[in-house]
Amino acid sequence: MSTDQLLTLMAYLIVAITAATMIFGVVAYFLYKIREKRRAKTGSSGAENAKEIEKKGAGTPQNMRYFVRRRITL
Amino acid sequence: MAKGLILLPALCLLVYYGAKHITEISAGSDPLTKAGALTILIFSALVVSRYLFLLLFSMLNLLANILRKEPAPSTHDLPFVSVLVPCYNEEGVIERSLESLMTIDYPSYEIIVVDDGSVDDTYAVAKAMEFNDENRSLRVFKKPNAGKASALNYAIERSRGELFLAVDADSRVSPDSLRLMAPYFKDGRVGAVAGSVYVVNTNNIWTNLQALEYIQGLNLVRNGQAFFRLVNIVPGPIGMFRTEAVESIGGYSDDTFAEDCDLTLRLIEAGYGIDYEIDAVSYTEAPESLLDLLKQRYRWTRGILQSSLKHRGKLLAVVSNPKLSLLLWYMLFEAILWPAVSIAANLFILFTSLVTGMAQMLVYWWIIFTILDISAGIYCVSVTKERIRLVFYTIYYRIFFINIINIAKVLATAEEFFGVEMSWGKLERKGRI
Repeated sequence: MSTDQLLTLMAYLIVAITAATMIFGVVAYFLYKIREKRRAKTGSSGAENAKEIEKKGAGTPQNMRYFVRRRITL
Repeated sequence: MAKGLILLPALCLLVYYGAKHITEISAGSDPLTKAGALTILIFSALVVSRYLFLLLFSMLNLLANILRKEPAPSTHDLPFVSVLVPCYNEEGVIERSLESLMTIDYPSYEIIVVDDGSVDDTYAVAKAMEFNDENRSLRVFKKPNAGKASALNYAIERSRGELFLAVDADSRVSPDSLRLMAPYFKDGRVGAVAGSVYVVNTNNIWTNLQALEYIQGLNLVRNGQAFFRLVNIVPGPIGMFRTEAVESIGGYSDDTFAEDCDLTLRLIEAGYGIDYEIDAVSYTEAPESLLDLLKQRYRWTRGILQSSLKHRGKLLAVVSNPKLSLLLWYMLFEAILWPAVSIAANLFILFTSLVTGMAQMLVYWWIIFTILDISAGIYCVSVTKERIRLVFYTIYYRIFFINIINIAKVLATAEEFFGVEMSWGKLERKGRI
């Protein structure tokens, strides 16, 4: 393989990796947004979690187990 | 330090020859190839200038610290310090975090834990660890959930120290942190001192890349900014503050999602200097999955933008408050312009290299950047306590990690400008500290 061919191959590899990373980055971002929307709806994180617990009767051990179990199944 | 001094001219030479080579390759080519070459050169010049400035000021700061190093203060000269630990749902990590705080080597300090309405057993776990010795104590409080800023203000109201160290409940600080940071406050103009943050859970590619980013992208920047006493963010996992200064500006504010950045900017606005102690270390648990990492960066990006824009009135205050004005321009450049420019330049370079077949130019460009990143990585590892194996990750750092982070930053910035609603987005911890 000549130097020119090697450089061309390397260049295409760089192009492929960079392009794939960029597409991957955009897809990952939207996956993150979808996950957060789902979590907000089901109340499995942060303040939403606290609010839902409050609605169901604050902080009883039964409720805590309910939320822990539900988070695991998500 | 010496390694850094060798590194600077070596990098300049490398860039000079790289630029010369790229110019030669593109000479006599069609306009698109020339445009591609010009983009590579301008983008490279920006990246290299940024690196060189950071390396230069980082080294100058290290040198200044060596020159003004005074003998370690005696026990009697060290002021009483309050260590503030706000926490929310930290039952998995709070015990180890408090254990690390109890082993701090410092004559007299208190630890104040504020449970910000956790719905797990954080309060019970922390409460069981309460104690009160002659020179040290641990007090635990619980309050309704109102956010980190509110928990920190609550802790400040109950603190007795003329200085306070704010730490995150998911972090572990080095035992000598207070001894290293407190002497900076002998200078009445210093309002806060930032420490270094290291990643403790380097168990996969994401956390290793973050560990590299923390020393190369964050600690190096703080070290450079500290030369001007203008560190723009005193990080949540480790930051020491003059209590009086923080009280004089009204404490932490809860109107942004980056309360640490906002407080730092307000201290600078009030005329205080912000320093950095490289050897005061906090080991923190980094997000272990890509989606959790994006969640963290989303909040950082929008929080920093909110803090910067909150002070936008000072952007043009080049005469009345030149330091703050300069810092705000720098922050807006780093937060908005640089990620967008990086993505645009990468896309254009890829496009022109595919269309014009300028393979050699692209490969030289990549080699220059990789050598630059490796050199900066070696320098950063050599001046910190981090592991040398992190340098290996510099190969993926720019082509892979930085691109993903930049994309997240640009999209989060767009959401901030469109006013998309956001919540704090607390990360689930694995208890690795």
